[in-house]
Amino acid sequence: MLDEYPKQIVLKDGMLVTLRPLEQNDAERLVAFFQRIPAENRWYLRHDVSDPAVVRSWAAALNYDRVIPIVALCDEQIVGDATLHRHRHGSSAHVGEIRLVIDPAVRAKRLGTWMMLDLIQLATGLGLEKLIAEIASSEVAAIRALRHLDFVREAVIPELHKDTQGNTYDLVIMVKNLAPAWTDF
Amino acid sequence: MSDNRLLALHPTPHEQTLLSPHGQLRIIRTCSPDVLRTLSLDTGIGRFARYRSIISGVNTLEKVAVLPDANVTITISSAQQIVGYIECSYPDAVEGWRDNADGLCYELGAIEVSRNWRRLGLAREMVATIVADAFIETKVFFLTGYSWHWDTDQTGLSVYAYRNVLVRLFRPFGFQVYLTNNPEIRMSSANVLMARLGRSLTAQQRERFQKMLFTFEA
Repeated sequence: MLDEYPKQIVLKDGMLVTLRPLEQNDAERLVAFFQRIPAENRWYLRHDVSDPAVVRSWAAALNYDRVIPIVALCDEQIVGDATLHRHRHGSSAHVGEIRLVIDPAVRAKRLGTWMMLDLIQLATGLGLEKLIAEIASSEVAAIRALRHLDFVREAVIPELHKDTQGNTYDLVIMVKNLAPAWTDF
Repeated sequence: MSDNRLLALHPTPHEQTLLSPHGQLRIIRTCSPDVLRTLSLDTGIGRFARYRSIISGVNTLEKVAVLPDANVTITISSAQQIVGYIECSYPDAVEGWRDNADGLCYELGAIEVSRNWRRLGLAREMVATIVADAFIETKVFFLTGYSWHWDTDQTGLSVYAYRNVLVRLFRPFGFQVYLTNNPEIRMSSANVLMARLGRSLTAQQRERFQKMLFTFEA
């Protein structure tokens, strides 16, 4: 599946962006990318990406069998990071989890949509049957984008997130079924 | 290759035989309207409860065969029935392929194998016959797969699994999946656009195609 990269996409404003899997020598580019992500966005990520050591450890320990990180590059700079996480055995082997972070400078240009669509295609090719995305309820634009890609809100865990001011938000779990079947109703 | 040379080559006719468990078959590349007129469709191509062929009859193939540089490739049974077909032609500007006056892009518009003749590798044989033509090396040869056309009823596959079958069919022939803002492709994430960039294309032509994929909303 990864042999189809790099892929070129053109954003709404004509900007040319390349999608490809993250490589070990991308470590410093990835560090720089996460430094540009505003603190209020980083707050909701699972890891402290403001710590360069954390980010470098990802690039150093790439394992495409477990996590496939696809980065978007513009002029050699990473402007988007989308990851497909897989469980390789057991009851969740058919499920993939997706995560996405976009550089503020290229938001609202449809890069996030393209990267999500690319992950969906990747997951389809890998034979996954469900995709899950977990989002804070405050991320309204992301929820709307996922809905347009046929993700359905399957669960809400109330007040699981707190922002930096202590305001609470729900965790929204959205699922896309990659193996829908017709019924004979 | 300069752009005006894109139209210098034309699809060339070719015929071969193929042995199948159900008898000898003939594959004809660039089948003429005159030959098509003498044939009928196998009963596995047509209208079914939850699936309908793209073509309504042999006359649909005849109409494509008369278009400039069109290529209707068919597989014929010993009963003189069409058991599989692929139709190729330049894409329609109405469908958004506006910047194609020089014939850079060439579309595989439809592919089907009769329900009675599937799992014999006929689609693969027909695609191989088409891409063996030198004409294809001068083109961006692309196809758009729309999930609502697929026979998920007989195959029992989900649209995503069916999409995988399509991708696996075309990938060995040099086709790759491309992202595009083509509105019909974007109607479902199961839809797919694949393309094969001919060996004779210049870097500029390849780049032009890449940009063309994102001009459907311009």
